[in-house]
Amino acid sequence: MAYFAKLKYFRQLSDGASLNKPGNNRLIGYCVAYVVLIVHLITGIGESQAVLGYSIYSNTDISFISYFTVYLLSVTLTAPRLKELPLNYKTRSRYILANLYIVIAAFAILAMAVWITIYECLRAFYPVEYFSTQNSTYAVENIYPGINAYLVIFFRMIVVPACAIILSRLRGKKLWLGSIVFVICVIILAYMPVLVLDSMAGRGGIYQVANSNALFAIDILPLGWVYVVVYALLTVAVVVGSIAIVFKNEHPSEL
Amino acid sequence: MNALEIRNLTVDFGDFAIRDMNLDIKRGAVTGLVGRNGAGKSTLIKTIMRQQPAMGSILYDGKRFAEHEVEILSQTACVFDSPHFSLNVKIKVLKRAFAALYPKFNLQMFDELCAKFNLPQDKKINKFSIGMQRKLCIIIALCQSPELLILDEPTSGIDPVDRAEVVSLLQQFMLDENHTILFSTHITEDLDKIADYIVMMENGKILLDEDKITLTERYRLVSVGQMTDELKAVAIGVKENAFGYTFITDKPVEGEGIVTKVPTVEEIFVYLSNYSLG
Repeated sequence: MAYFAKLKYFRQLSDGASLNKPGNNRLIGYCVAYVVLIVHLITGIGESQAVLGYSIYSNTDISFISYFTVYLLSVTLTAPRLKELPLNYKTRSRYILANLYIVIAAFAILAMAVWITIYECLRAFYPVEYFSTQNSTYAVENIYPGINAYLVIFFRMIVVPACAIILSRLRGKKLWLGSIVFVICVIILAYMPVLVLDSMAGRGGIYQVANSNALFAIDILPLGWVYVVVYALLTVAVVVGSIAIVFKNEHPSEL
Repeated sequence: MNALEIRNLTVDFGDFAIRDMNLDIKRGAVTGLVGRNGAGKSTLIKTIMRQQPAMGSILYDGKRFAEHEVEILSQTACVFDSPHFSLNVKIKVLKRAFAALYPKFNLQMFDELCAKFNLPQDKKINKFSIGMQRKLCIIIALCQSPELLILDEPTSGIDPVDRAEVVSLLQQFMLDENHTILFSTHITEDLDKIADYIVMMENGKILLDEDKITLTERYRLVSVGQMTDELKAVAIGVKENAFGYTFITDKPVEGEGIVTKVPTVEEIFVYLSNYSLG
């Protein structure tokens, strides 16, 4: 308990006012860009069809809420006050990362618990067979997520806010480059199951997207697990990167 | 022994820079840092507190920061020009946080000083006036039991009665001969009371670094009705007013109609700044 109390006090001493500094205007940019991206993905690619057709629970990407929370907290934890505490940089970095990853883990576990409960209850009450009897041209195999989709959603809950830790520590050109790479990766990862895996399966990406939930297709495609592995590796890489950048940033200069 | 040894310090912002600065802050003394707005005082303090990237070297009590990080940080406390902690908490919450993270935090002293300065501990910090927030910052810094206390404009915004109390607290702090204060201020009246050394900055450079007694003994403030060529040759920072001219000088001047007196730190600062600006 003492450790968690120290983490709380460490967070309390960070400078909340740092969020109001001019450099953090970019946060508004992130909010707008990311929300636009999410809305585009939801409304533009099948989701609207799915909502009208078979998708019972929309696969809305709520990881962006975690992203913004972690971004704000991460910026706060760069507060100058924390560099005055009588801690060495390794302890300070560990406190920072513990605070951030507790939030990330709590959000991921909570979101997964809600998701799994909802989907599995729906599956129990409205099995796939129920939809098969309806008069529709749409396929129903991927109306519910399987283990692959659950894993990917869980990884996304980790990797997206972990990116926020990295981006909150970048400045200038590196920040711009990092932001562009981040948005491109979000788009690629959102399209990948349908444009790559689904096409590889010979079913035609667009057809599958229009049918139902794109992400859930990875549970019925032969190479769907590849997507899970890629996402897992990416998650590990980004988490390691976020740890490395915090330690690097907190390391005292040779001055 | 110096509390701080700054060598070849360079901080470059493009439009403003501190270049190759060398400065020693004597241990057991109060050093007043004066300069106009934008002279580089806050930049220097932020650099000393490792919050500003820079080149050069700073030794803390003869030690390098990278090798003695925790030791140096536990012996140093700083009051910046704005509070460096969340304002959206009550003082008692902040007290617990500082007590948990600073092993030498003096809780009894904290309670006594909060009572003395009328700072209720069950009130949120953002409900206090700027002056009260500054007093709280000073109390927190003192309660960390530091050996080196760095203050950036600590008394600005504080009413005269409390300012006198704060200066008195700093004088008490200096009763321990191992304690050191680096004190940046515009209120040079405070420096007249407690400073042992004066460092004057202008445009990122040190104009003057002298002990206060030598400084005030060296210069004289001169008032004269007419400027002669002899006076012009020795005058520093000449100002014209309705009655004639005033300036400071480090050379002896005598003559009819010439009035001299010992200048205050503020007068030395004003005339030297005037001189350096041409």
